[in-house]
Formats: sequence, C-alpha cells, structure tokens
Amino acid sequence: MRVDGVVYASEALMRGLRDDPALEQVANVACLPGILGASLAMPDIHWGYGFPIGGVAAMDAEEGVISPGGVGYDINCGVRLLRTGLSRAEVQPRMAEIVGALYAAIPTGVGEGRRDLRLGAKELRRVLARGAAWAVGEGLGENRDLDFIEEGGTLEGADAGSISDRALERGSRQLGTLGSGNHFCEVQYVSEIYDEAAARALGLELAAVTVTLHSGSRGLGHQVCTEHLREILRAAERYGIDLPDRQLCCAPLRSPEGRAYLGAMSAAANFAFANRQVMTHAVRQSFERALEVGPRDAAIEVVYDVCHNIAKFERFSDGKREFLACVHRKGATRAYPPGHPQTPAPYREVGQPVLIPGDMGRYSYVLVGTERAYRETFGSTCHGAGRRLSRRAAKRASRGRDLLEEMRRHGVEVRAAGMATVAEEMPEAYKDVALVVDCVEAAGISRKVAQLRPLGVIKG
Amino acid sequence: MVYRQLEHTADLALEVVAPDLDRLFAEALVGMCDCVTETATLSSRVRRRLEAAAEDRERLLVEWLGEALYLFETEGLLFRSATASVSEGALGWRVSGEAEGEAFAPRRHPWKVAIKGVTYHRLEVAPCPQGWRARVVFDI
Repeated sequence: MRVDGVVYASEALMRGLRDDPALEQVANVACLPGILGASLAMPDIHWGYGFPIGGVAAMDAEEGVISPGGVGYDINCGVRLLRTGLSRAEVQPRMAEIVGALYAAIPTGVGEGRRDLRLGAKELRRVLARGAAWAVGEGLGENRDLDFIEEGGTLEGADAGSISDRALERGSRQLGTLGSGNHFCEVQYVSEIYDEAAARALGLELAAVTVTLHSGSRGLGHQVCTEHLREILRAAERYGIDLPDRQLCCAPLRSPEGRAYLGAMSAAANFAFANRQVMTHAVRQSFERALEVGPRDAAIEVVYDVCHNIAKFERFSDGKREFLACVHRKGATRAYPPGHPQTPAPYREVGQPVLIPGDMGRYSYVLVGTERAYRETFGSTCHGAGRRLSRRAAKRASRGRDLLEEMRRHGVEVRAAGMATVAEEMPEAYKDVALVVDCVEAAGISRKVAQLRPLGVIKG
Repeated sequence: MVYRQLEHTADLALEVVAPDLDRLFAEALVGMCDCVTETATLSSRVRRRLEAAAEDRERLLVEWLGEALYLFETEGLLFRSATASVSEGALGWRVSGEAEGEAFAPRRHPWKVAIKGVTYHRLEVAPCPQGWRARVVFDI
C-alpha cells in the first residue's frame, strides 16, 4: 500500500464490514500509482469488482493513473432531484394517474428504447460532446436547468469521435430511458426539514412534492467501459503496473490509453447527463398531462444533478498550494462546500446539494457538502444505502407476497416493467440509508437538509 | 446443471464446470443467458455465429460472453444452446461457435436481471477434476 485506507463508518456499520472483502479492495486501491492522501471508502461501502462501491481515490494529475474499474460500467450513473410547485395533498390522490403517465412517457426495463428519439451516429456524437446542453438545445429543458447540474451537465474534454460504432449502436435507442435494476423515477414529498435556511436556499418546503431520477449512461456507457477495460488491461502490463486484481487495471493519466479512456468516459458521462435531461422533460410533460396543469403551476425545476460513478479533474488545496487531481468516485458523490465557485450561486452560502436515494419504501435524503469533505475526502461523500440481501435472497423472501399491494398499503404506488425487479428492489433488500447519512453527518463530510418519502415510483 | 449462479449482494457470479474447454465456453454462454431469462422458455428460431480472440483463456471468456451480451443489447437475442470451439495459436486464443435462441419477448420469457458488463473480477478458467472450471462475475 502506498497510502493508508480510510473507511468512514459507524461502529454498527463496521461490525458488518469486518469480514467483508470490500476492505481488501480498499487496501488494493491504496496500491495504485500516484494515489493522493488515502484510499477512501464511504459508509455505504460494499464489495464491488476491483474498486469497492463507495470508494474514492484521487490521483496526482501528472504521476497518477486512471482506472475504468474506479468508475464502473455505468459511467455517470447519478441522481437528479426536481422540486415542484405541487403539494402532497394535491398529488397523492392522483398518484395512480401520475405514475401511469410517467410509465408511459419514460421507457423502462430491458430492451426498452424510445421510438420518438432514435438518433443517428452524427446526432449521437453531438449528444456525447454537449451532454445536457444538447437536450436543452432540442427544446427538452430550460437553459436554467444546466446551472443546477454537476459540471453544468457537460464534461469538457469529451472525445465524442472516439466512441465506437458498437457503443453508438447500444446507445442509439436508449437516450431518455430509465434502464432497470436499481434505476428508478420516484415521486416524493418533503417529510422532514433539518436545516431551514439550507432547505429555503434549495427551494424545498415541507410537504412539497419532489421527483428523483436515478439512471446513467445505459448500454453506451457499459460498452465504453468494456472496450477500455480491455485496452487498459493490456496497457497496465506494458507499463509494468502490478495489479492485485485485474479489474483494478489502470494506465498513467498522461499515457495515450489513459487519455483515450478519459475522453471516452467523459463522452459517455455526457450521454448520461443528456439522458437525465430528456427524462426531466418527460417528467414535466407527465405531471402537466396527468394533473391537467400548465408548466407555471407544476413549476418543476432542477434542484441538482450529481454523478456517483465518475472520474474527473478537480482542484484542491492542501493549505500550501493548489493542485489538480483526478478524482475517481465509484458509488460516491461530490460534496462541495459553501463558497465553492462550482456550487450554484443560489446555494453558495449553504453548500452543494448531495442527493442520497434510499430504498423505495422508506426515505431518501438531501444533504449539502462541507469544508471538511473538501479537506478530507477530496470533496466526496456517500451515494446510497447499499444492498443487504442478494437479488436471489430478495426473490426468495418475496415468494408468496403481493409486493405491489404491500407497497400500496404502505402509501407507495409502484409501476414496474417486471415483478422480478420489484422483488429484488424491495425495501428489505436494502440497508437503512439513514444509518449511512447519519454517519457522514457525524463525520462532518455532509450536512442533512431534508428527508423525502416516496409516493410513487416507476421501475424497470 | 453444469453452471450455477453464486450469491453476491451487488453483482452476479457464474460458475461453470465442463469436461473440456469447448463445452465450458458453450455452457458459460448459455449460463449467462440463463441469468437474464429462463433459457428453457426460449425457442431455437434464430441461429448466430459468434467469435472472439484474446491473449489468454480468461480474457477470451470475457470477450466471448461480451459478444453474446452485445447481441442481447442490440437485437434482444438470448440463447438456449451453443457450441464452441476453443483453440490456441501463435497470436493467442480464439473461440468460435454457434448459438441458437430468439429475441427476448416479455410476454413469453420471464425477466431475471440486466447484465451491464462481464467483469475481470475473480475471473477464472482453470482445470479441475471434472475437466475445466470457469468463474465470471457480471456487473448487474
């Protein structure tokens, strides 16, 4: 190990982790050349492949490496939170219609593609270059939306031309689609406020309705990861980088292979930003249609959009000098402090919003970043709850149960492309996200602003 | 059954055992499809040829399964049976074969899980007492 491994966890979470191979993965990441500070792990850490999920590793911009496994297959899987001008009282009685409208407007599940948005290679490359700005340019959003997305919804340095025909083919029908598994579009209400001033700055009021989107770069991103893992595995051998796990393969940031991956990964990340933007437009249309209200009454606006699988260059200071680092976040979220120039102006006094989804039965959280995160974790925090049961165990536990009816009695309207996903994603399959959120707050790397509880959800 | 899925909280691991490499690769392909749907519900109406090449046996398995995954993502194809011929040459390893199946149709085929990628994590292709064993972890 070149640096220490540092795990942010409570006593209770650590008890579950002691024998978990995830800790071995934290140690393996600490062996990567050019790693700065420490190999970090957030409280939602669990066993991934190569990097643990919940892992953060910052690399020296000159001497460090880039590792596709430190980003994951779902490049820029992330979360977007929308606020509305609607209240729980108005919306809850109409949840079945709203969920139905969302399900009709957002293709969900395996093999589902958009018939209305099938893009040729040339147009797709524009999406890959411009990200969310492409969608806004097509009338699928407002310019103002871009101010509330990490990196403005466009990663500069994206090399759209480098994306293979195979990746383009996989992505061509998938822009504006949710995917499956743990991806979702959820309608919520603000159930608790912990910081009045921060909630006011973020435009969140008690009982107001919000919508969360969780999705990424779909098949395009998966293909980019697959192709570059192959190349970088070869490159790691050529550069003599000794790997405890092949999935940790990496190449120097300054190498042709490293730069090629960065360019392609950034392009795939832009696809994901565009994806969430297109779905935002679909959410706006769905609400307006289902409730027969106009845009001014629905007042659906972007609170923020964060990546949780990404690697990008960010600036930090160690008190003596400013430096550039390539920060890998795999199942971790950026959490910039108050005053940071990249924190949107309306939030600059309170900090960058951090969106932490829980399972579909309990709650999600909105937090803000802190100065301590910026100093200690390269401006990073957790991303979610983490699974408690394997998918098969969850399916076994669901046998003989009417999960949709259980969720309905619990006050949550669920519409899903397949019951297998509902079983795998049922609330008891997940850890309690409150434990994770309380832990990052206790560690001082994020601050709770509000809790959101689900009213309805669509799943693949 | 010559393949089995291993419990894993976040991903899915497949273990395959076969008397020889050819059958190992063939069963691994069907085993991967069986992670996505019940392959017994698939017909054999579509036949496809698949090929892959790589520096070693393990990477070859990743490439081979990656070809099948690509066909699923672009054409919805899943396979109930396959044959494979694995060989080593001066430039590395190659596999070619045929697979039979059909496009996924939600009304006919139960949906299990979406595979995002075939990882190199804990990847293994090795001799064992019954012949050959493979283990591969999928990102789901």
